[in-house]
Amino acid sequence: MQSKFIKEDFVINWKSAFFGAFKRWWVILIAFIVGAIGGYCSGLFILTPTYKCNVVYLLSFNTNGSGVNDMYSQWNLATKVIQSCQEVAELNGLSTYLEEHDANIVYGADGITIEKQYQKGEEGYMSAGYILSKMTFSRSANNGMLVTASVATEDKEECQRIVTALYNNFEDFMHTVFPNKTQGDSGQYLTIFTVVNVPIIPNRPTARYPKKVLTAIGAVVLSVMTYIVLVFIELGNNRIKSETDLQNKYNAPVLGLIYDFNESDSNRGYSYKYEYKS
Amino acid sequence: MSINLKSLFSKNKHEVHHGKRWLLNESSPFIMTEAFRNLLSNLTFAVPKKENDIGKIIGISSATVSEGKSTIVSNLAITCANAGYKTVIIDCDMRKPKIRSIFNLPKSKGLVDFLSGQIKYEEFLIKDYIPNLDILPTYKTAPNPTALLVTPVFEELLERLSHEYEYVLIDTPPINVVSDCINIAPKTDGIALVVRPELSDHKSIQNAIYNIEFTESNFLGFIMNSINQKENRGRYYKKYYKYGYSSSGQKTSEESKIDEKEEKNKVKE
Repeated sequence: MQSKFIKEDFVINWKSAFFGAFKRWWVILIAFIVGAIGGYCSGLFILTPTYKCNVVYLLSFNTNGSGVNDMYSQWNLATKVIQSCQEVAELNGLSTYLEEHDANIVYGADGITIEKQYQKGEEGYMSAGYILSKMTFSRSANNGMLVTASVATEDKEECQRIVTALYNNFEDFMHTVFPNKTQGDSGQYLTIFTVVNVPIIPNRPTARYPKKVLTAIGAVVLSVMTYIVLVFIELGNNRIKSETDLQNKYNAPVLGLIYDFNESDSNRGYSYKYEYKS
Repeated sequence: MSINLKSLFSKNKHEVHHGKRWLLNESSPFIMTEAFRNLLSNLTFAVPKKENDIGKIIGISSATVSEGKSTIVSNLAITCANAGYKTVIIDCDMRKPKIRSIFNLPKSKGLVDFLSGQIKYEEFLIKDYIPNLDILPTYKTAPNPTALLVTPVFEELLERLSHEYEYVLIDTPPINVVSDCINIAPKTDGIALVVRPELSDHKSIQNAIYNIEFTESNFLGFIMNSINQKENRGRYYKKYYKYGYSSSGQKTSEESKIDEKEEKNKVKE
């Protein structure tokens, strides 16, 4: 059914929707507050900022022989070193005990003795167990051994300090932990340490965000999402919002605009003053 | 800024204000009296002038309920009367009559009794409620108002009123809800639709317009009710009002200064 008063080419009023969404400013405000609280809580309970750094060393073994037998010997030596490292870790209640007591003497299997404390920069000492706990051992492709020192702390400076200490003390540490084991059956010994990956001290948390950032992100994201939802609600709202709505959609004039009144206006003339007496 | 919690959960803003009706009087703010004067001016131009100075019959309706028809009819009638036009209101909403309660009228016989032939016209006409304003109220509801509105009695009544008054304002029921307005519309010079923001929707307004066009009546336009003053041009009126106009009869500071000067001049003379 066609009408001369209804315009056919009705256009979506985006401007009205964008501004209309702000009429429910309190919803956006609530979303902002809830988002901020959510972001802060997630930073408090779930996520903590962590600085991570890896240093990878390559240990190769100097041998007298050559050929297939020599390669076999290198392989065996690497296996032995790895086994020894695992034994040290297991027999000493892993690294936890050492870390807690900052132990400098630990009795291990097969006469392995850790006697030395290793410098933790200028501030203190790093126990052998602690160093061991930060490292993982694996065979490399060329029958040497890859040692990866991983550090993860919440404090950036702490991360930097530990990584530097590990880097500086590693060679000394290895000689102390394995003074005899490096002597293989065929006279091989551990000689060369090569730093494969130089430690890169991270400037930013590599895994997680600090609470302030999470709070800001939570607040902004939730309020923006709420605003978008409100805009769509406004677009879907078929009700008349303003005089412009009528002018856009209908070919009929708006004859009058009667304004809303407040409670206070009732004292200024909006009352039943007239009394009819029959 | 306070948040009305009730309004957050209500379907529309109007539900909170529902039931509040008001009348213009001498102390009403300039912005409100001017709004109705403006409406009257626009209606005067919208309704074509008739021959032999016959009064204009204007129906005020709405698409749905609670949009403020009766309040607007009442205040428009007061504005007409104050402007010197001889005006009459007919409350044709025989299902939910409101005019009686708005004007605080005593219980008596009304339009239903007249249309059913129980009383004469003079018996239910309330003359000179205020100067130039007469009212034809409805008191009791009718079981079948549509049947009463199609009678020749109603048509004769309108004919008579149009000769006696300059403005005949009809308060009609909502056009989409009941069919009464469809019977009234062809007998008028035009129908204006009251629209309340955040209550009226496009679909119902379109249906109302289709209904008016179907009866081949004259659709005059929209009257927007309950507009937020802050968001619309009310603020300009407010400034204008502060500048120098006073509807309450109290003189502004500038007016009083002019009066003082005039008095001084008289004394000198």
